[in-house]
Amino acid sequence: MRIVWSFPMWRLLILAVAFLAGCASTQSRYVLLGVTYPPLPEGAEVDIVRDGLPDRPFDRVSRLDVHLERTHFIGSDLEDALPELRRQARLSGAEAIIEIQEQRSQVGETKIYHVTAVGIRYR
Amino acid sequence: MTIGRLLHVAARLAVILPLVVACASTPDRPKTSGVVFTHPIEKARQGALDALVVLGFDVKKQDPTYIEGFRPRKVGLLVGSGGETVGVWLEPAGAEQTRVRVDTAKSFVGIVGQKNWDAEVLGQMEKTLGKPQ
Repeated sequence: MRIVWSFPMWRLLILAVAFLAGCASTQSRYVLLGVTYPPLPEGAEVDIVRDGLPDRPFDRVSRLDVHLERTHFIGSDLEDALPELRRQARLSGAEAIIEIQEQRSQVGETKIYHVTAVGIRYR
Repeated sequence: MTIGRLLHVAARLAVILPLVVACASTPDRPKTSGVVFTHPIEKARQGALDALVVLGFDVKKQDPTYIEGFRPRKVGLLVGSGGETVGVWLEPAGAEQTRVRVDTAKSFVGIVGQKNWDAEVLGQMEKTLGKPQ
């Protein structure tokens, strides 16, 4: 049997892009908790405090949420969420992230990962 | 049918499908009594917003007594997910109490990969607001 490859390459490309674009989503937001600060510039350092609280005094600035979903049974973890978590922290004027809480679940072949944290500003 | 023909059909579907899946259903206000949280409506409303965000809903409507969210669709190998619309109705049930009703509407396209989120939304609200009465 002879396989006929009459399908133009650009159509294959559209198909691949449509497929890949539709299999993952990232949602994020921040909610200010009271005192407001101006956003930090892009690329500004944001500390990640994984355990406990910082030694220096600080104010809680924002609640941060990052939500990742991927199909094909591919999971996500904190490392995948950190760039977006840091970006939301900067937008809210936070210099560090504390109280990181992770939640994982699954719907069919979609793996869901959600991280909630608190953005803080050092005094 | 040649492989080229199959890919041709698949490419057409890739163009048509996003147009079709744009259709979403609208949740109906439940006739049940719902649950009552011991918090004023503003705090209960924030709890509902947080719950939708944690569950991956894009908040589409934010009225004082109604919140609506839509879960983005994902294409899977066999079964995708998303496409559900959740409605949360809030009603004062006293100075410090708020009655909450939740309904999930599934859309026709991709219904196999969709689920009812009512219990999950109330469960997430419980985490921030405490157990309802």
